[in-house]
Amino acid sequence: MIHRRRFLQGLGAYGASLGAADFLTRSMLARAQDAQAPKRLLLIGHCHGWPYDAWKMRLGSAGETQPWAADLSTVSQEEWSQPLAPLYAHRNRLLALDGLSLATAELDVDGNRHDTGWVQAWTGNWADFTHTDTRSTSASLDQIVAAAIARGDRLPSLELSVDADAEGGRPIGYGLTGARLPVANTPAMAWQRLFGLSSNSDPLILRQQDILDYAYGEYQALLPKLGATQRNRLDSHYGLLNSLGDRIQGLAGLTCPSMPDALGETLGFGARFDAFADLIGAAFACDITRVISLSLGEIPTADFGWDHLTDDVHKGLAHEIYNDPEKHQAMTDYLTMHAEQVAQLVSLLESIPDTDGNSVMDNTLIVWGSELANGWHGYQHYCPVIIGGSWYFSTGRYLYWPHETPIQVLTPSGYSDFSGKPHQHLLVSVGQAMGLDVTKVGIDHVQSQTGVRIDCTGPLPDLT
Amino acid sequence: MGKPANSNPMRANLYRRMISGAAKCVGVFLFALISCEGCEETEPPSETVSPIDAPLIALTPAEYNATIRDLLGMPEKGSDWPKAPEIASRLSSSAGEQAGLFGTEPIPLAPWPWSFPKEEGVDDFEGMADGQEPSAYKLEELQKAAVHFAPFVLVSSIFFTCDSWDTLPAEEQTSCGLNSLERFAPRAWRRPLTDAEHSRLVDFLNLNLAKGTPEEAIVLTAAGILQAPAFVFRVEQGKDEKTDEERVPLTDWEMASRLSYFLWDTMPDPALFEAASKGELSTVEGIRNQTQRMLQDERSRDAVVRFHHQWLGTDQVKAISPARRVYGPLYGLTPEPPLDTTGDGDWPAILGPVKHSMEAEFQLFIEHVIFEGDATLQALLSDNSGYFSPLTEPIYGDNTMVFPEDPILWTYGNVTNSLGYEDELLLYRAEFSSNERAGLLTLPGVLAIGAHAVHPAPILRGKRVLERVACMEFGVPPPDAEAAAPPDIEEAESTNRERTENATSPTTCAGCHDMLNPPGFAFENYDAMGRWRATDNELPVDANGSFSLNENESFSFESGVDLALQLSTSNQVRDCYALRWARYATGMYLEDDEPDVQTIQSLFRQDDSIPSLLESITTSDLFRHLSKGGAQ
Repeated sequence: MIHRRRFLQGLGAYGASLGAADFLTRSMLARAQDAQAPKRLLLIGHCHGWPYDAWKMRLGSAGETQPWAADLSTVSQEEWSQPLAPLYAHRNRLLALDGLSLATAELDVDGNRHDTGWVQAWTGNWADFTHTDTRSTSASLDQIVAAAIARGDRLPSLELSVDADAEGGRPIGYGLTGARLPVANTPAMAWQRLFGLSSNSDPLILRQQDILDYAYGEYQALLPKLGATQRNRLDSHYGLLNSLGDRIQGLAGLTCPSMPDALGETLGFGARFDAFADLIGAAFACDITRVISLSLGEIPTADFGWDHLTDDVHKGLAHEIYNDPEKHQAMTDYLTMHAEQVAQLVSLLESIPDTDGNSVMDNTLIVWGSELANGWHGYQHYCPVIIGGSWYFSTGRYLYWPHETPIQVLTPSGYSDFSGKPHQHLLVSVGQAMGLDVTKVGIDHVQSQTGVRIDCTGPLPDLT
Repeated sequence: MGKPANSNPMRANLYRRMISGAAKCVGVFLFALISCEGCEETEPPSETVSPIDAPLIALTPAEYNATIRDLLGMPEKGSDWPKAPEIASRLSSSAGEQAGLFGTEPIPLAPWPWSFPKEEGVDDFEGMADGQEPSAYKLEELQKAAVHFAPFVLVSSIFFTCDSWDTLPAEEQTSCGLNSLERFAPRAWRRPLTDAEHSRLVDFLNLNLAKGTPEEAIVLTAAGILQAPAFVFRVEQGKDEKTDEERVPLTDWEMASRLSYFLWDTMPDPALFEAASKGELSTVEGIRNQTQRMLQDERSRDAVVRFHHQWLGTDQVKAISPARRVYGPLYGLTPEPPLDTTGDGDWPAILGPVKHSMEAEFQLFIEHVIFEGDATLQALLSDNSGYFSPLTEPIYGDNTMVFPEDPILWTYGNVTNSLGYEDELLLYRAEFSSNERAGLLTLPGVLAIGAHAVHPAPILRGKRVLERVACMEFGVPPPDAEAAAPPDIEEAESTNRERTENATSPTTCAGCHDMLNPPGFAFENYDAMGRWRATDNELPVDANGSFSLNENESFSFESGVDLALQLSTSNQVRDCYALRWARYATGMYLEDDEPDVQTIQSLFRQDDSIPSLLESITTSDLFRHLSKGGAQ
């Protein structure tokens, strides 16, 4: 469980005990009612996709040959599928997307399908495995958005990974070079990244400002000696350097009333998730960053009640979902637990007041995806969920599109003739929701195995 | 920020007093830098305004990393670097973050090289004035890199001017630290410091000493040196004399850097610094001597190869994606992966190392021709010897005569089935069939980047020949051009050439494709992985064609080999090659009607010698002067 009480104690009940709590500064309060709160993006990726037959919903007389959309506010809780049911409380914020595929990953010859999927899911682009580490060929969505919306004086983005103890994190974020971004895979590390400067844990970090000052001084001394072209070039460079200084100053000087205590070692997946959730809430509430990616490693089987069968989610359960109904159910329970965690995180963000008088969740867009469509390594039924972003999306709906894209994707019975819509459209929709003027993210088109040109640009239809 | 923290003169004086006897004479620490005699002849950097409006070029990512390595005296491989000192983790709030792969242990990130965003470039060349757009991301990476690498001065074998620094008393640590930084800074900035720069450096060190330990002060000061414009950029102001309206001669120090980054992609070595200090780089003879020396040095190999990668775009070989269903059987795989997904990593496990082998073969071929062979462009475009590994043996086929030489060991990194690893290839030198291979254009790595997953792409191959090799310009294709290309599918009724001809036959296409297609069709004897084939879709390959480069040079050919041999003696191709080298050397987008360029081209036409070409560039007025230009 997320330590909601502790978090709220830390934050102060913005609406209820505003003055006494004194957790938000007066200046924040002063601009609360008229300021426009920043928009935030949170990408969540879990492992092994969705057991599609358990996840999907077929509402009323809706078939599978035509696109349809259902208003989730009219669907009784009993009609919700097991893995989506934990999100029932947040149904008005939801867009459940049924009809996409990681189709371009099927055409990517590189890597095993997990690795390729992790790259493709969030960059929308080809993987590059010709180094000793995984790379993409372009930036991931979070980095594209961060480059556009980040505050100059705060962290552009934060990369988190909740993992089993032995693992180092599955990257969602890839920088503009295509290189994967390191992740903070312990809450302690994430805390240091968020609050290290302001907490003065080591004054040496703060002295980076002195380095920048010195470099800036050298720039100023050189400037008068240069011709106009050289001066312009240096101006651009050191003007940007100034903003780096702003960030160091900004992070060092920030006050964050909701700052959780510094964390030591956190044992267990659930406890780590809770701690990360607290940190996400604080990071958004205090505007330390506006973009976060949260990669979810495997939940230990004991945590969702299947340790009597195996300790190995990956090979013991996920690979077997089409061979063994019991293991299909186990992976359904696994996904359900993730849904519960995501729902709790949404509740947490809902409980945090924002500077515009609404909640932080009201100004947050969560996109929850995976690296595969299913644990069998398929890319066919990719089922992402959008939560929030209601300033742009028409939320509260379940959308279905039949598979009509002529990319052949692998299924247990062979290659399908068609796939769902390429997931790049989702990435474009999210980019546009975050205010970006983008028409493509990653690959703009592919040629299918049958020679058909598939356009991957533009947003998904009917989301707004 | 606005003002530097040490701008208060009183405070600066206070800190200056903290270090007694600080060396003020620029010549003193320059002497320590190059260990040479005659430093009194040193020409100080200009304190006056540069008399010309020239462009400013930053170190490229490759140059930055190589410079850091040589500045610190570190090994060639990042994994061989010493462990970062403890202070490194205190300087960076994200230190210790890790990235892993699916189901594996965390992977320690190699401390070097730093991953910078690729430059926008000009014609795929980095280091061009018009191709270096500043960006917040690049700046942030430069700042992070400086803070990341600065702590390594503490474990560098060439940083400290004293022995066992960490065991010295604090006062001696301070004194030695200053001396060491005074040697470090001019090496980092590739020139002596002015008195004012030296004064600011001492001020900064004192500021850092006042706030922390000697170790912290040295590291922070080094980080500042690495973020100063004199390190990040190749700042050129020229001598304080104008030869004409457009040019001023470079100083000896600027020439040392120009030579070094052109021929080595890294900072000058002590011999080059010494030559600069003695004024030897102000003469054509001195530059010629250094050029010849530098081309004998191992460092020139990587730099020369890197030019050729950028010239032909062969870095893209890492991104080729031949289809398993067509090429998997060449390596003993079934056309499709098993339906239980257990074999879905088989093809990537083969293809990844194949790409590395192709890249190695390209590099070794260039090195062999230029540094051990004829060193001519003709040889680069016609030599039918080369290298292969067991992984590319199926591509080269049986018509291969292996030379009785020891194979070359090639180390590479790859990720297969979630496992990042380093492995080795053995590459054998061989002579290939003269009917099938002739130089660079018939190397599998070059052919494979001109291909789709199933079929070769004659349009891409033709465009590469005409634009990159012959310097013709076609501009951007119309938006609907790609959609009109024939689908890349196995089930086809005709040959690849016929399908391409049909797709490009409309009059709206023919204007360009009458030129683009023939040099592409010449290479139809090579499939998407660069393997020789006599038939396509069970029909004989037709690689005949003809086209003209100019009114004096027409080509009529029967095969790719035939065309490559004709291109190898073409004047336009030689002029193009010389022009690209001249642009690369200066970072300026030169046109071939410039007199200096024409002189260089004329000399190259005569002897076709690549070392002589590089020498004629470095000794040219073009290279020795700061020139106006460069839109930034």
